[in-house]
Amino acid sequence: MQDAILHSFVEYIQWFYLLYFIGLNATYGILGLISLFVLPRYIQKQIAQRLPHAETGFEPPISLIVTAYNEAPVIIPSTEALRQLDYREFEIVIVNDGSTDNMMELLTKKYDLEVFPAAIRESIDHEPIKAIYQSKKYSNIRVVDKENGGCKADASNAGINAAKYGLFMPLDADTILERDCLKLLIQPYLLNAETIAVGGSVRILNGCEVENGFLTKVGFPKNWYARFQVLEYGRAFLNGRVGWNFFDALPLISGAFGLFKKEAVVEVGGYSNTSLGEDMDLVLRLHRHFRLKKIPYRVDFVSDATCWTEVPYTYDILKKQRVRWQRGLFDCIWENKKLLFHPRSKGVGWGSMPFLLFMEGLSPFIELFGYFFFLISYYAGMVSFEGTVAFLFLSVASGFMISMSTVLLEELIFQTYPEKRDLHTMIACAFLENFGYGQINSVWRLEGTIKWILNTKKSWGMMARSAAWNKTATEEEGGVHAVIENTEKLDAPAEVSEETNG
Amino acid sequence: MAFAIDSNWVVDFAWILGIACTLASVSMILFVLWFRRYVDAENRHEKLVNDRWQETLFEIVSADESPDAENLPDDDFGAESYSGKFKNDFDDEVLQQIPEKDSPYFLYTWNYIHESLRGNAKDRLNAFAKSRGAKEKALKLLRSRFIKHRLLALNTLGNLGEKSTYDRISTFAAKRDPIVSVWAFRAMFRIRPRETLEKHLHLIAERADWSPAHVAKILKECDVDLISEGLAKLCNEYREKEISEKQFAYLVSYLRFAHQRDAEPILRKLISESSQMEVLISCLRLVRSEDSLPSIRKLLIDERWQLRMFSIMAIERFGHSYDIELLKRSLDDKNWWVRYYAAQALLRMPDMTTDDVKKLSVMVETDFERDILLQVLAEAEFRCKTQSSTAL
Repeated sequence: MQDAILHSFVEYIQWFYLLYFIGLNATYGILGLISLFVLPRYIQKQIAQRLPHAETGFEPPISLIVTAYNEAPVIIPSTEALRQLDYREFEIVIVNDGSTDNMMELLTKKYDLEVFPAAIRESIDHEPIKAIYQSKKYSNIRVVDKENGGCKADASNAGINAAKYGLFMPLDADTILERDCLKLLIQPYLLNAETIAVGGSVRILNGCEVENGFLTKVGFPKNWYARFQVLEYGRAFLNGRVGWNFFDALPLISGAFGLFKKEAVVEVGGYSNTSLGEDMDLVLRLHRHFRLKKIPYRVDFVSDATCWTEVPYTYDILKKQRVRWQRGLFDCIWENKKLLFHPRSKGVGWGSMPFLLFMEGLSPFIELFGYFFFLISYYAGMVSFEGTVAFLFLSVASGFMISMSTVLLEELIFQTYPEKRDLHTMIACAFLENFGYGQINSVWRLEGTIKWILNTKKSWGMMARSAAWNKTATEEEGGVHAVIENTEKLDAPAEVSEETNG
Repeated sequence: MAFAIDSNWVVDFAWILGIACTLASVSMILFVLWFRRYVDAENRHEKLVNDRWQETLFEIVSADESPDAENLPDDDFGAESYSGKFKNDFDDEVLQQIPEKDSPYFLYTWNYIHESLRGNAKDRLNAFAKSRGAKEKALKLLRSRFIKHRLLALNTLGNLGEKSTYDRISTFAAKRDPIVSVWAFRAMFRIRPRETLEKHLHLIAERADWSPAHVAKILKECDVDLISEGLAKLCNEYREKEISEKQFAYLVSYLRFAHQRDAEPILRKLISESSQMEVLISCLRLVRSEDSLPSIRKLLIDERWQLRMFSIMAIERFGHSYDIELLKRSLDDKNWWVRYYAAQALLRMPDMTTDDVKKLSVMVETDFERDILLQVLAEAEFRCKTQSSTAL
């Protein structure tokens, strides 16, 4: 009798896992096929953008909001790079979120700042602004000096209030933008007046070369943590975002790279300064507000508008980031639970949010429990050796296939990494990430979920930056040349700054 | 515990699924490796073709001999004879026919240079391209299954001004794809502007999927004398028709490419009669006739802040001292933008000096009014400083 119950239990678990893998592969497969269908057509149409004078002259002006906390090493080269962006009209609003380093002094000296009596409209709440400065050298540079708000969201909200134009782009001080990215991101706004937010692709800067704040050579990271993240970012942006965008169900625009309609963001109260995933939270709140109130709107994604950012390259920092992301994910889903399976929520509530909850949020439980269950069952003699191996093999094979589909998309559409050696490494990563990296990620995410359930104290974490691209900026006045590389070649991180102004 | 499930078909299914995933992955690896080789070879070839044609085309553009405008070829025969002029100027290599495989690369380079130029150099490029069979190649590419080739072909035919291809291109303007159709429309305007205006201008009102910015760019490239009347007529016509508010607002905004004499009557009518916000905003952006002022003044107290803001901007353009008092009242508006534009308008009114506005900032009763006036004054001061430093 007991044997029969156990037998049924094991069989049910096996069925569950089989269906889970089928569901996982089917979802990624569908998203991948959509990307395969959508991206080539989109990229082909971009031939128009590559011809000279492609701008219509009717592109609306944009406010670039750079939130910065103790970013003295990178703030000047970053701002200088932003000044050189290829776009008709834009302003740069730097929000100094109560920095304790000499960032303000550097900005004042470089841009000849003077106090400006701006009548700031307090549309969104944030910590008090101490002063607003205007550059005497460049009319499109302003600095908002505010009290530290403890998170990036607070600084972004101050920037949104200070922004002069109807569209704004929140940026981190260390983000490297491609020169034409604004021209690409603006396209959905020109095509559809109902557009309220547009996201672009984020790629990994580790291993690349940067000069004067612009990317000069693309390289594959040498650090294995960063290498695996290349595939993760690829899965998220090439498979995920493109696929969900097709269903008009984009759940996330990266906090480092998106273009928002100010009026819409103010309407939903700006960024949440309590959520650890403020970027996803904002997009989901926009969906919730507009969709449930039946106001026509569009959240779009432009795959070839690209920014580059440095990713964690050490175990500790990567772990902190993943734990925080997982908590942020649950924060966002919980805050916007009204959207989940709501009759009016369409693709967001019936597609991308359940995907986030079950395939991203709960997957660490499922995966780790799976490993645990099959190994214990095998040692207990409840599952045969062949059965255990079959399911472990399936787990690795399906993970490999999903990653390979990302490599395929990357190669078919962008060929970002020109060296053949890099392609081979990427394929190797697609295979190797299933042996250790994937599992450790699940452990971190499980920790994040537990911390979210226990509601432990929130922390925005510390992000060690190699800041190598700033190294020669001090050596060659005005010139910035650097190779963003892994820790193996650096004695120690040159600078440690809060990742999100925390 | 002797029920190890060796024979359970769930396990067999797991094996099959795992093997299928592995086979799919291996296939993808093989494909990716092959594709990389193919792309590398293709890129090398593209570079070779581009380098070669870029050099040739730049030589043609920078050639000393400028064609006489009166003798420009306007048909295929003329083009051939005109291109004969180049036979003595360039070596044999240039005169070789462009292989089929190279034509997209050649046409892209040619279009790129063409779009960068103004004036006679374009005619030289056209003549050369015609002599190289660009028209035939473009027509062939129009049938390509690749959308980029079709777009390239449409642009080429438009830039060439090939009248004989007009009817073929017009079929593309009716296609469902908004990019392809709008490019076809642009090419049509370049080839036969008058005919396009008469027969196809209605598309800008009907194609809601076309980017208004792209349509505006096409209209901007046109001769204002040619399109002015047609645009006003179209607006009048569609005022009565069933199109969305947004679409009609775009249509009204295209009146910026019309003469004031043609646009004003319809703008005046719309400002006084319409209640649609988007349409009114389009009108307020463009209106220049004082006849509309009474209607605009009424909008200063509209409950929609956007209309209050745009009516202030319109009133500023007319600069009547009568409106100063109205603008002062708007300084206390609950919307920041309305207050901001009211303060700016006050500063720019002919009867108001900077000192007047400074005095006003002391006299006003609320912080709202004072703060916004101080900001606008500071902005004006900053502008003066930068202008004087630029002048120096």
